[in-house]
Amino acid sequence: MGRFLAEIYKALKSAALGLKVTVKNLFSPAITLQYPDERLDLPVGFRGIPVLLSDAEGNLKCTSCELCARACPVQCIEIQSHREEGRKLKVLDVYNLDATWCMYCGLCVEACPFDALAMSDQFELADYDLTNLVFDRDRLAEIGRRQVTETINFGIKTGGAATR
Amino acid sequence: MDFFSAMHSGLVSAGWPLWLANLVPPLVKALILLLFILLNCTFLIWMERKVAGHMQRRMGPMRLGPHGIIQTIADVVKLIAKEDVIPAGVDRWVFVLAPIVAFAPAFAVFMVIPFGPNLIAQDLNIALIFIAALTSFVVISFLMAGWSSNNKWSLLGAMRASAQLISYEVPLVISVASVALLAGSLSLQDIVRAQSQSFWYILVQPIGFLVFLTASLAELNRSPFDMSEAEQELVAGYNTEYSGMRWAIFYLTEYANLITFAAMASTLFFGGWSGPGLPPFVWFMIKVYFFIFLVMWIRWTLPRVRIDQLMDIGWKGLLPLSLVNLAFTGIYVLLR
Repeated sequence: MGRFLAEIYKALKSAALGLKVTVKNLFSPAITLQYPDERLDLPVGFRGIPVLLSDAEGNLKCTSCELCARACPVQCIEIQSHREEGRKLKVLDVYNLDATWCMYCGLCVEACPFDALAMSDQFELADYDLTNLVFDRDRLAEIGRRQVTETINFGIKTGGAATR
Repeated sequence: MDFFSAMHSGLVSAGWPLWLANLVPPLVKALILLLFILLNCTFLIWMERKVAGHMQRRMGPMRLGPHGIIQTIADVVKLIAKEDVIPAGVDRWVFVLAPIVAFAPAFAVFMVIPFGPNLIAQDLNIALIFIAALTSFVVISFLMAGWSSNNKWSLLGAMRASAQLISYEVPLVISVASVALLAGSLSLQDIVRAQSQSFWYILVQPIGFLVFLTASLAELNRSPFDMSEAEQELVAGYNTEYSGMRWAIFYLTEYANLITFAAMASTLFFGGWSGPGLPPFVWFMIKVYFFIFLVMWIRWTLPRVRIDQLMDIGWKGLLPLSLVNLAFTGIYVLLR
């Protein structure tokens, strides 16, 4: 008889404890982000697709040195350039980055001596057409201009300090 | 109700034959009740998802309407648009009839529920027996669904459900009987009046209420007693093979039973529509929604018990408790 009542008491007590936990969570704010409307604050060091950065005048900083293409372990970067008379810098003609191959390692950004390349905050690259996933010079430059996250020490170069 | 007798005499004096005029007021009442059930179930399904979501720090439905309020309507539209699948190998007639057999008694129970001092479809003097009898019908529909589906999960679920429902019917009815003893009547309307003249019966029937609540959770097939549709073991129990509108009717029945339970709990133990200040119907709905919330709260808190534990709780826990409670209530009523 005593054990019976003790069990009922135990059951009621543990049920009440559980109910307390759930009601506490019921009145705490939800942690869901309504994704397409709200976006997660990307963490420092996030590596999206590599993009070409421009200087203040809007010209690409890239000097066509091809160090990034050499650094790329999967060789997904293709660069073509030519020299012009009276110009010291090479002119960048083609800069194709095949995002189907890219593994977002960030070695290209690390290799770039002019900070002309950065790992971007763009991660919504899904497409129905594979050929659209080969990003050419102009698209990479355009994404680079859209870049909202500060990219100066973005990607794996980040020392861990918050950039924002 | 005056409105319906006026309607009846109006129809008779307008030259309608008596049998037709007799038929109209009950049909109108039934329609009103059906509308009440449908509206509330629509809201309750949304509410359940919201409560579940927020208890898990999620949001629940958010996309359709403000805070997803019309999500259920979209779901119903989807279910109506679905293909009407009757799987090969099922016992066709029984399969088709099972949802209807489930819903009809759940609907009929609303006839005797007092929504207000005059707001009741039919004040039966045996209302409690009526409810106990009709809610037992669920067993038949579960067995029909499980057996006719010709599917092992369905059959297992139905077997479990019927074992569970039959076991918990006993303490449920006994705990309700002690309330009837206190009020001296089986009519729900009389029980509410007796409470509004004295006190809410929860004050003298805490054990009775506890037994009633636990047994009702089992009767409703709700967690922690949702053995019959234990997803991890049985897919969806007796309604595994059901889809589209037939499944929706089972779902609707579940929520109609939930409303019935909440109405019974507030009527038997918490004074029903009686209360100070607000109109009776509002008091009734406040109490009903409180109990519905309580059931959802319990559902999203407690884990499912095992089938042997379930039988233990029913026969070795609730039954003696309710019997002792009945005995003490009897002594109290004698000495009063």
